[in-house]
Parts: sequence; C-alpha cells; structure tokens
Amino acid sequence: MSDVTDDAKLLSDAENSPTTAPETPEPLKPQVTRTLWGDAWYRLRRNKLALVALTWLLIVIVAAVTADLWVIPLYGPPNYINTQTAAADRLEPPSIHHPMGTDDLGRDVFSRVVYGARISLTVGVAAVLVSVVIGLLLGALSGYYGKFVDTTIMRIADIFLAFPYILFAILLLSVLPPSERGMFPVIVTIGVLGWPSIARVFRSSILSVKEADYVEAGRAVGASDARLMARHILPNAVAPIIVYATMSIGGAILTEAALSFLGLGVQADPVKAPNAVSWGRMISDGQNYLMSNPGLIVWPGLAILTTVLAFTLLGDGVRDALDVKMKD
Amino acid sequence: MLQYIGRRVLQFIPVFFGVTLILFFITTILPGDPIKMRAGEKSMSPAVYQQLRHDYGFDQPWYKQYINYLEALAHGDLGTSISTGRPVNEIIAESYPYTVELAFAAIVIEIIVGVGVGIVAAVKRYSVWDVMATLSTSILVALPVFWLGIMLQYIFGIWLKGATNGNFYLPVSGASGDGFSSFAHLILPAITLASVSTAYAARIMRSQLLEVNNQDYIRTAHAKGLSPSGVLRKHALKNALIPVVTFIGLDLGAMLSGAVLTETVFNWPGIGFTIARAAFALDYPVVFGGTVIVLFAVMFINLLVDISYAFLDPRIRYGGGSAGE
Repeated sequence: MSDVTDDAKLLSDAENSPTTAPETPEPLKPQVTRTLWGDAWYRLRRNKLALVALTWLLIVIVAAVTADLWVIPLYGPPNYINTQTAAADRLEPPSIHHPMGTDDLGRDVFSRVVYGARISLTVGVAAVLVSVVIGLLLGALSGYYGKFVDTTIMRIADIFLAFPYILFAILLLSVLPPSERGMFPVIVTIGVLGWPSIARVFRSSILSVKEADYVEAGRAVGASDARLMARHILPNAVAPIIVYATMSIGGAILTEAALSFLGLGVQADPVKAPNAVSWGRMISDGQNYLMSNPGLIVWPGLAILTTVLAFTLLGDGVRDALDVKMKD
Repeated sequence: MLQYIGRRVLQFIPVFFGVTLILFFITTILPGDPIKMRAGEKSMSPAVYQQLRHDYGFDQPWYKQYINYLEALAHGDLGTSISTGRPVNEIIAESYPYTVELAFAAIVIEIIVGVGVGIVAAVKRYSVWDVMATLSTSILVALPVFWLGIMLQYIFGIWLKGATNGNFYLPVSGASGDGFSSFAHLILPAITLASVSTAYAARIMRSQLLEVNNQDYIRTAHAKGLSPSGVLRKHALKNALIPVVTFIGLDLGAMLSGAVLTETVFNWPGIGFTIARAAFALDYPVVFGGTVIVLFAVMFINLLVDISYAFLDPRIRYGGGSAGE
C-alpha cells in the first residue's frame, strides 16, 4: 500500500512543483532514472520492518564473522572445557562475565550462541543456493521445452514432494557414520530436498514470459535457445526466485536446527572444526537441564527465532519491493 | 467424477515407484550396513554375518531385492525388523494409532483456532486484533517446532507445577493412561504439532476473506439489506473457506506421515518417532514399511481433498479436471 502512495506522491510532486512556484519557470528536472533493482532498493529502504530485519541480519553476520576477535578474548572459546574450573562454573545464571550464563560443562552460553550463527547462516544460505541451482536448471528445462521433458521433471518433483521431508533428510544423513557428518552433507541434503518448489516457481514464471513479444522477436531474428534464455527469459523470470530464495533461507535454518536437534547435524571436532556449535544441538543438550537452567534452551531458541523471522520479513520486503505476486 | 478419481489414482503409480526406488537407492548405494549396526560393538563371525545378510536378502542385487519386496508387499507382508526381529506389520500397527490420534487432535485445534483467528482478523481489519494475529502468526512460523514443544513442557510441566505446589500441571511425556489421563497427555503435543499449520490456516483464511469481500456478490448482498453477520455467514465464508479446507486437508495428510520432531520431544510412540529411530539404527525394513504405509495414507488423503474440492467448487467438475495440477 505505502509503495503506491509513495509513487503517487512522487508523481504528484513532479506535476505540482511548477504550478506551486509559477514565477520561477525552471525547466522540469529530469527524473532520476533508476533500474529495476534501483527501484526495488528504493522501495525496500522505505519498508521499516524489512530494514529492521536487514539490520538484525547484518549484526548477526558481523558478530559471527568477527567472533574470533572479540568473543574468545572476552568470553572464551565456545567448545573449550576448562577441567580445572568446570565443576565450579557450571550452570551459572547470567552475569557480566557470562551474559547468558554457562552450560553444564562450564562453557559460556553467549560465546556458543554467537558461534552457532556461523553454522546456521552458512548452512541456510548454501543449502538454498544448492536448491536454486538445481531448481533453476530443471525448472528452465521444464518450462522452456515443455511436453515430455516437462512431464518427466514435474513427476520427479511430485515424488520429492510426496516424500515426508524430514524423514527423507533423516534417512539420507543416518547412513553416514558420525565421523563423516560435517557441514557438507547437511547442506546437500537440505539443498536437494528444496529444489522442487524452486523448479515449480521458476517453471511457471518462464511459462508466463516465454510467450512475450520480445522473446518472440528475439527468436524471429535468429537468437539461439541459450541466448534467449540468458538474455531475455532469465532476467525477466528471476524476481520470484529471489523472493522465494530469501524466504527459504529461514526454512533451511529451521531444518538444520531440527537435524542437529535429532543428532544428525554438524558435529564439533577438536581438529577439523574446534569452534563448531549448532543451535539445534545446544537445545537438545540443554533439555537435560530444563529444571536447573532453562536459559540453556531459551537463548539458542531465541537466536533461531529472530534469525528466521528476519529472513521471512526481509523476504516479504523484497517481494513487495520487486512487486512479485505470490500465493500465501 | 469417477473418471477424475481414476486418473488421480493412476497418477499415484509413478510416485509410488519413484519413492520406493529412491529408498532402495539410498540403502544399497550409500554406505551403511544394517547387519554390522545390529552387531554393534560386538564382533560377529563372518559366517554369522553372511548368514544374516542372506536371511535378509542383502546379498542379492538391488533389483532382485526390490522385486522381492514388491512381491511381499502385494501379499501384505512388510518384512521383519532387523534390530528387534519383530514383524514390521506389528510395529506399524502398534504405532500408527498414536499418530492418527495426535494428527486429529492437532487438526481440531487448527480448524477452531486457525479459522477463528483468520475470520476475526479479516472482519476487524487493521484493529489491534488483526495486528496481533499477523504478529503472532509470523512468530509461530519462524519458531522451531521442537523448541516450542520444550518451552511448553517447561511452562506447563515444570513451572506451573512449582507455582501451584504440584497440584496442577500437564504431563510432558509419553501417551500412557486412559480416559482423562490420555486426554491430558495429548494436549501439549497437539498444540505443538498444530502451531505452524494453525498460523498458516489463519493467514489463508484472512486473505481469502478479504479477497472475497471485494466481490460484487458481497456488495449486492449488503445492498439488498442483509445484516453484516448474514453476509459473512451466507456468502463470504462459504466462498472463502474453499482454499482453507484444501490447506487443512493437505495438512492432515502431512501430519499422518508422522510428526518426527513433535513425537521425539514428547516421547510420543507414533509412526514418525518409530521410523526416525529405525533410520538411526539402519533398520531398513521398518523404514521401508513405515514410509510405504505413510505414503499410502498421504496419497489417500490428498485424493479425498481433491474430490472434496471438486465437490465444494462446482466449476472444477466441469473444467476438465485439471484441479490436481
């Protein structure tokens, strides 16, 4: 709604300015020309919720990336257990030294929550990228060539969608021995399970662009399939994918947390990944101390909630900014 | 109509073969040896190992295993569990009623709360209620389900028990007891399972109702002097409910495929919990059997949803039946 009024105001300002100041017949200033993306960014900046979400995500990202510089000196490494003091330091309530208290092994919860953002964000973004690559490829084939290719790909998509999602992920990951459960298998699993929706979205937007006059014109002057795809169809069909991908990151983060909660996520490894912490795993570990220190569960849960919510709100904002119509 | 149903049933065939083939692919190509898993840390003599592999048919090529499996399935035999040695049919028959019970309880919540909140939010658009509904549905969708479950356990199981000196609290684990006790055990898992879908149902209900309210026939109904509640009941709701009914129906199908996370948090002995535990133990016959049964259940519900959709919206019946696409 607000976008429309903004635009309307811009228009009316441009029309009204000469009439309100008739004595200075200034030539009409040329409107600043913006690209589609410039336009979208302009509209996104006017969406308060989306800006809050974006700011929060930037804070989380910066905190996670720079954690080695300030979190370790201030609060200690996330997985380090000091055997001398662990017994005395365990399950402490929040204090200045431990803003979120300590866990059952005397580790600082704040440090663990900050480091947890690394795995969540990496898995969330990388898994969606995997889905987007597979989904774009299959969706493009399906939408562009139609007929037999379309039917085959869409039936395969049906098969993937019919399979209970989390069960599929559990099955794929449980065949791996625990020593091989790193970030990579989790990313691939979530990514592979996410492609059918992307393929469907992309297929339908290709179908709507394919028949457009400018594509027909391109074909008439002899452009190849690949060129039509790259220069004319893709740029015009990509907006829904960006919106859908932004919203999917939150879902991927939730799935990663769920898999870690079930014990199938990224494992900390003293050599390969000494600082690996997963929010889902923290919640599952904290379950045993629900009575004595519920904070062990509350903090990582809030971290997941705020991060996922931020991606959803940002996705909503991007949708409105790019003016993409989507089903609820 | 019959033709339509027939076509939908035929569409199930490739999906069925696809899913079962993927299952076989995962278990034969990827690493993971159920027999070794069963032996655990104990060493097993090569002869016993080979014998067990032979007994379960793992020494045959995958396509033979697949055909054998389909043949047994046609006779209603889902095989034998590797880790417990019990028939899979028995294991599923034990756990599935729990999943059905939980799913229906969650659906009742979803219908009452989801549809109710959606109607209020749409009727009182831009009011405090509407803002609160939008806010809480956004949060519910972003919540990790298992975390919500644990928080409910803490609030209603631990904190409430302490605050009322142990007089009043809700059970947080298992599904035991009968009568009121079994109902009490159902409350928290059902709320947890229903949370996300209820939020979606409320959103869809709200947006549908707002859309329908812009239609000409609603204006006509107002114009002819029908009371606002009459317009809502007789015209708006009837039309706005169709997509909501579809969503809730499909959701019931998803819930009948087992709620792994909810069932795990609450130790609810349903099919999702059973399949997940079997997957951890690489107990493939239970995973296969469970998934096949779940698949049949989901497909059956989806078919019912499509049929009811055609029933609720007469336009689809004459429209050549492309509703399922």
